[in-house]
Amino acid sequence: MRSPFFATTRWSLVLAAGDRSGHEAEAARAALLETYWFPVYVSIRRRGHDGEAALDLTQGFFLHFLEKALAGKADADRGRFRSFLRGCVDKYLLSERDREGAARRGGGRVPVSIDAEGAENRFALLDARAEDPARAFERAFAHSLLHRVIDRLAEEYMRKGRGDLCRELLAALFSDEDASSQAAIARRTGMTEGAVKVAAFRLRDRLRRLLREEVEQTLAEPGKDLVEDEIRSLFSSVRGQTV
Amino acid sequence: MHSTKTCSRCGAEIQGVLPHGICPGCLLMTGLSDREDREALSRLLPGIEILERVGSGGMGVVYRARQMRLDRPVALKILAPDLIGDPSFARRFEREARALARLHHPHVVAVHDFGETEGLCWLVMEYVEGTSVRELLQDGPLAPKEALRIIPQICEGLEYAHRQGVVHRDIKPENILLTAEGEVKIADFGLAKLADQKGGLLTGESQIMGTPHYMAPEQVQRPLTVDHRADIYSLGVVLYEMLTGELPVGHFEAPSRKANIDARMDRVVEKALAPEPDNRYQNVEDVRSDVLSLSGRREAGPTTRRPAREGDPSLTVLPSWIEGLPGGALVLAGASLFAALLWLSSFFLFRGQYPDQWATVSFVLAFLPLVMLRGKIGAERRVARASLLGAAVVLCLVAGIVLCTPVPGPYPWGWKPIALVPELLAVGLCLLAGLAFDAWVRMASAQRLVATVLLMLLSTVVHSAVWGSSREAYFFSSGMTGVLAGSSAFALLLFPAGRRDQTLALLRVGIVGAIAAALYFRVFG
Repeated sequence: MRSPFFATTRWSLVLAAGDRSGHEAEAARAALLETYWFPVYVSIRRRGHDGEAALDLTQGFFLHFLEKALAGKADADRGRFRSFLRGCVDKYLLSERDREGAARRGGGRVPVSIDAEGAENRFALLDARAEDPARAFERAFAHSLLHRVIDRLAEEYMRKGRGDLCRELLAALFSDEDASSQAAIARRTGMTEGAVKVAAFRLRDRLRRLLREEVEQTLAEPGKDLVEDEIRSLFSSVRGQTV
Repeated sequence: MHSTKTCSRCGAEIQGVLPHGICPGCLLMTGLSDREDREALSRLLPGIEILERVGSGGMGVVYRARQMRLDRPVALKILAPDLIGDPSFARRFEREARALARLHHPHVVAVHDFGETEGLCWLVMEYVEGTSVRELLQDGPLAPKEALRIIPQICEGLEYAHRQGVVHRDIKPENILLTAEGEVKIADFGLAKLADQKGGLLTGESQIMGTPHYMAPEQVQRPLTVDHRADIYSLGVVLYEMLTGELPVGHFEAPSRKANIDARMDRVVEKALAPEPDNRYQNVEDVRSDVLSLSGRREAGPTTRRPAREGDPSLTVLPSWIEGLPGGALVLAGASLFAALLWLSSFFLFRGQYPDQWATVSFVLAFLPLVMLRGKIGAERRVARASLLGAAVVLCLVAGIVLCTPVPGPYPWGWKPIALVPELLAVGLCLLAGLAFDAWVRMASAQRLVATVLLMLLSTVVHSAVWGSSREAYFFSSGMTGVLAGSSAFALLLFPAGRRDQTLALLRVGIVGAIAAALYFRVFG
């Protein structure tokens, strides 16, 4: 057996399985959809569909995605889940344009559970400025990824009973790194300043690792350079600048 | 409606999408650069200038750094128990780090310093400029010559650590470093014990638990029973991978079928990869000597230049054909030799008047070899088994004699019904030693010596209780011990340290021989 040092990412698992089922692939697929349905929703909304229709289309898209897109041969670059997903959404919406208003797609099947109200709220928070759907998608994708990273981190700390410390540190994470903020945290949590420094270091380190892990899961191949490339792309989509 | 803030750090607009108002740009930047962390670390650990991050594994982060006062390059390893709040970690870390700092060997990455700062555990280690076996494997399997050059060096490092009582537990190609001169340095000894077990997908970057393929089966199934032989298993996996470029998983082909190497290597790999620890090589030293003999080199001492040790076969007087003899023949031969030797010496010293002392002889013989034993972990088990075997043999002999000897009559030396007590006691103590070998193994040589002396005194007491003459008993006990010490020393000279296992087996045989001789004298005068 070839050395499994090159272990698999979620996206590579899904690609390998295609539309076939398999325990690992199912789990990977579910994880990816659960995290990244929002950019699809955003992209659809940006094309002018209203909330209700957008939800419907989102679900329809995922059905299509699971049944047809993954089974198809590679015609687009499958290296990144992000670009692949976006390509799929574009193609799907083009084909669905003609079926606007048709009966509820998929016959009521729901591949992804979406909190409708939450979706709208998040979308509203994103930006009111007119923006092309592609950019909106990219930005929403980056946000979804980062959201998941932060959630995972918070959950880890919570499980160890240090949720409050996590909140404190995250709030001060990228504020001006001055002694007073750490001192304030130290007072509030009853730790020494040195301990706060160390805790902050640990948290950032863990955050970095979770971030790189999450990014890697959306790539077809693991690897430090690929991860860094992807992070750079995400950065430019978030800021509209290149690193 | 949307809220906008500006990030105080990068000045960009933040849209309130992420929790805690975190700036997405800054967060992404964290993924790319850790300059802040390096600076924070430098402040935390004065005296160390952190230069660059060179790797991160499941265990923590490694930085290339410089010890400022000594102006030397070092590797700084920060252990990151993922979250704070594990108070036992710091304690375990300190214990482990202290054991590691005691390891000084050319093939083991040295630990210069370690500490715990506000819950952050760190190690300052030798910085190894070079590559790792993993990197070499990226290009496919190693050339057989290269692999055979590397393996003995790994063995030496492992042997040394095992003798110091440290088990690595995480031998894998990533942990086997190679300097620019091609010298092996084994890294990350013992740290695997500290790692938390976590599941989740393994990725090329963030391996929390490391690849399980290198772990011995007992590491996975019965982690509490793991001993140094788990390292031998991992070594076998690494050896296979170095030769073939693949892992020995499932039904795997013999290495000689996949690479241009001697077919006898298959046996080495097979033995190292035995699922049951008892069926594996019991010592790394044996792996090394087998590998060396395969590569056409006789064990010409260690593969790096070091002064010859007493184990070097160039000093052995023992002819090689003896090694080929089956164990049983050796046992009998040794028994006769020792019995004859001791009988002769007693004859000359005491004019054959007190062969009762054979009882004492057997006590001392039972324990002297175990005293001589030093840190040879696997050998002790064998010796213990041999002692059990010896005891069983004697027991049978005794039983036979008791059953066959007619009752009563004029017996030499006032034969009493309970006169077999010393022999039985010897048997009992042999058994005890065999059964208690675990405790014995843990004792230091000094302690064992004390234990032997105490047991000798015990034998004297027993002897005087049975025969009623304590002064004589004491005198001859010590006399015999002197003789025995002398002959043991002689035996060890004949069979130098490298053949220590055989020496001990032969000494063990001496017990059997001595007891047999005692019985002979007892019965036939």
